[in-house]
Amino acid sequence: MNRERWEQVSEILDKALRLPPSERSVYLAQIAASDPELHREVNSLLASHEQAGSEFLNTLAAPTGFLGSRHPAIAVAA
Amino acid sequence: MQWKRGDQEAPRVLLPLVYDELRRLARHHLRAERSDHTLQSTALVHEAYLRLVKPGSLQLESRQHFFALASQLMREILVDYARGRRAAKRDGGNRLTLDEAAELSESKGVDLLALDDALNELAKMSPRQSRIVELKFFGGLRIGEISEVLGVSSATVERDWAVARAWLHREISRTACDES
Repeated sequence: MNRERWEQVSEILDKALRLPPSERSVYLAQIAASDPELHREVNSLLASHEQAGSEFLNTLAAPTGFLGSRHPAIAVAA
Repeated sequence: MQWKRGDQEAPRVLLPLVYDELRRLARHHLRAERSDHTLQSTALVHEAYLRLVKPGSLQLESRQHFFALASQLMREILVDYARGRRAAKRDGGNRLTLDEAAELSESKGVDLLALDDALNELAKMSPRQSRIVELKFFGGLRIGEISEVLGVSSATVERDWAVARAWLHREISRTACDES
C-alpha cells in the first residue's frame, strides 16, 4: 500500500474506532458506497483491532512513572 | 558525558557506547535474575540511561534523543537475540549453555522477528507510526513522552498507535498462518 492510501486508511480507521457502534456502521456504509476496496481494508483492520485486544504490544510497557522527568538524572534543564 | 542541546554529532558518537552498555546490562540482568522472568527491556533502557548520563547534565533535546536512540537499539538487540535463538534451534538446539535469547526474546508471545519485519513494512507506509511502536514497545515510553520526542500532539500519537497496532496484529497473524 502506498503512503497516500495508507494515510487515508489510517484516517478512516481512526474515525471508525471513535464512533459508537450504531454510527460506525452508518459511516462504514457510506465508505462502502464510495470506495468498496477502502471499506474492505478498514473492516479488516477493525477486526484485527478487536482481536488484538488490550494485550498485544502492551505487555512490555514500562510501569507508570518509570521514565521521564521524575528521576533527578533526567531532570529537564530550565 | 556531555551531550548538549544542538550537538548533532552526539547521537552518532554515542551510538556504539549505548549499544555496548545495553548489551552488557542485558547479560548482567540475565545472570542476576535468571529465576525472575519479568525482565523488561524498558528497565534496561532506563538503567543504561542512568549509567551513561551524569545527573542533570542533559537538556531536554538530548534526553529525547537518548530515548529515541535507546529504543531503536533495544529493538536491534532483542531482534538479534531472537534471530540467534532461532538459528540455534535449527542447529539442533542443545549446544547453547546460556541461552540469553530465551528470556529476552519471549516477550509474552510476540514473535519479535515477525514484528521486526512488519515494522519495516509499516515504516514504508508511515515512518512515524513505525517509530511510535518502537518508542512505546521497545523503549517503554509513554504517550506524552513519545509526543515530546516526535514533536507531535499526544492525540496524534494515540491515533497512530491504535492504527499501527491493528495493522501489525493483522500482518503478524498472516505471517504466522503462512508459516504453519
